[in-house]
Amino acid sequence: MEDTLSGVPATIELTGVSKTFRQRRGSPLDALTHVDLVVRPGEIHGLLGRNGAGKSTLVKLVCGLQRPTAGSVRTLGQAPDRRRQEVARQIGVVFGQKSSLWWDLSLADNLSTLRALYRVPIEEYKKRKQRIVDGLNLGGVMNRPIRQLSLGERVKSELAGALLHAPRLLVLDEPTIGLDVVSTCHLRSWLSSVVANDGVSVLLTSHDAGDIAALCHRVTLIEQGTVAFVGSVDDLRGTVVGGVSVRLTATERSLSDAELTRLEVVSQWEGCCVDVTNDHSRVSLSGPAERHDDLIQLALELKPSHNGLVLETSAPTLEDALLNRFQQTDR
Amino acid sequence: MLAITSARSALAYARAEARTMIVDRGALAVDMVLATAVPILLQVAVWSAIFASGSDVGIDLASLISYYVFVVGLSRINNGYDVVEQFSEAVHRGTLDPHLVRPLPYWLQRLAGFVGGSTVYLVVMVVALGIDVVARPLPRDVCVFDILAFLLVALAVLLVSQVLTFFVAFTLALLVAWSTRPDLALSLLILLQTVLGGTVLPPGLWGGSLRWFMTHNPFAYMLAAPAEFLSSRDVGLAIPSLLGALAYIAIFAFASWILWRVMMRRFEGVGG
Repeated sequence: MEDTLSGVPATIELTGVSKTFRQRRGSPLDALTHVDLVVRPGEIHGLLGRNGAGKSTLVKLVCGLQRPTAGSVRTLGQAPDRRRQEVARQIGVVFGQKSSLWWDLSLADNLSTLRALYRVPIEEYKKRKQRIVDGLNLGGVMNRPIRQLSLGERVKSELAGALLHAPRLLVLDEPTIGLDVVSTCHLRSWLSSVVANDGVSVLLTSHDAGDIAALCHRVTLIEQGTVAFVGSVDDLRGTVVGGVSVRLTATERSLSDAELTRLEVVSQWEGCCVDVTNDHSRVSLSGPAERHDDLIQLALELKPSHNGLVLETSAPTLEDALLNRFQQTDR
Repeated sequence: MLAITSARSALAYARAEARTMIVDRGALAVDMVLATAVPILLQVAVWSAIFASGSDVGIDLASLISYYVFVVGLSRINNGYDVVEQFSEAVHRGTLDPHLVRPLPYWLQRLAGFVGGSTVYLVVMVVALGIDVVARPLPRDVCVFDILAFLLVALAVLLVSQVLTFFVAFTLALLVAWSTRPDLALSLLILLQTVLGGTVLPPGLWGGSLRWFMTHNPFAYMLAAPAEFLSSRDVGLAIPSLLGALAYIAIFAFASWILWRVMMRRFEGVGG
């Protein structure tokens, strides 16, 4: 199997994949419909979509935990549902909220067990362990049981376990969920360096647009079980909105209901969306370039009656783009 | 080649589980001393009183106590509680996925872990054998080879009874995977192991048609049959024990294979 764009054998190749779940009551549920996906060697590929869009199903298909109803799935050149053990030896998987480690054992014991499980030669194991432990700053917790580690340390430990056998593919399902800013940043930069040095491919699902924007070479957006977009993060930002984002930050008091109602009109404009924080202190208005002046004008209308209202304009973030896209789908 | 690789991987799971048992030293000590010693002492007290009253139960006191020492020791090794509890918890919390992407089938992970964790309790069996030898000294004409042959057969009987315990518990775990809590299954398992397994009363002491059932049910092959073999010191008794256990292993392995397929079809729809 080769990626037709580059001529290099693909790490993951899904062709016309559909997955339908039979339900005891009600009609069958189409989780994925005619999905095509290619992940190239050394590529970090982001999988985006709302809850229930089909991301987890796709990840399970890639890992061989499920069999497609139609189409073909090739992971590292093999059908993962038929050759699950062989594929499993060559991939590393981290589920952000699910631990695969031995809870009562120390990280050192866990890594030693994984070495035996994946048959990593002892010399290679020592070198890799040292590199991973140093890179993830896990040296200080090696002898502590997993259950005594902080969430950040646990996620890092899971990553260490997933990378110990030098997998050719790393599947990361929400790896930074629940992590603080420092841990998230550290994890992102370390992952980037691992991919650059080892040439491992990564399939990353995350609801954190920051993860995707910081790490991914390309992204696939899944909406209601179908591929809605494939391309770079910049392309996604550009094609989805292609315009402007206006942020209003209320520094002295929250925005009143009347002010919010005035801003709500934006959501009725073609291609535009409004996002308000829970405490009504920040509002983000985004839309296509031709709406630039209208958005600014609307924001400026609030200024005279609202002291301390700060206006900022910028190119839309990936989060703006996704929000815009999802709100358009809901209409 | 694949089988060797799988065996080595399984060994990793067995070692990890054995380490996990040793790490929790407090629980291990309580389990070994209280949960093992107290039931044996109770049985000694009860049966000593019965024999003192002049009742004839068809077996001598020393042999009966020897049976209880072994059956209680075996009940510590062949305890499927954790198999049911851990699996149910993984299903309910949706944490099965990370284990399914390991390069070893899930059932083999659990079996290896179960056997590995139980090896720690072999200490109980060694102590039980020691007590038995002191209480009922070996005949003078027994040679070293007879002892070695007996110990090897005993190990085989123990291992097969362990595999049977695992498949019975795993089948039960799969049966209750969809229930809200596994408590009912866990209580049922303990009850069946205690009563049908022969921990309360040896199968031979049950009357009438119940005796056949108490001798040939799967739980009896987990506990009572190996205990009777160990207590009798008769290698010949190992054969029916092994054959019965192997037959039940085949039945429960097939049942768990079917149930696993059904469960995975239902479980696969869960996502994030």
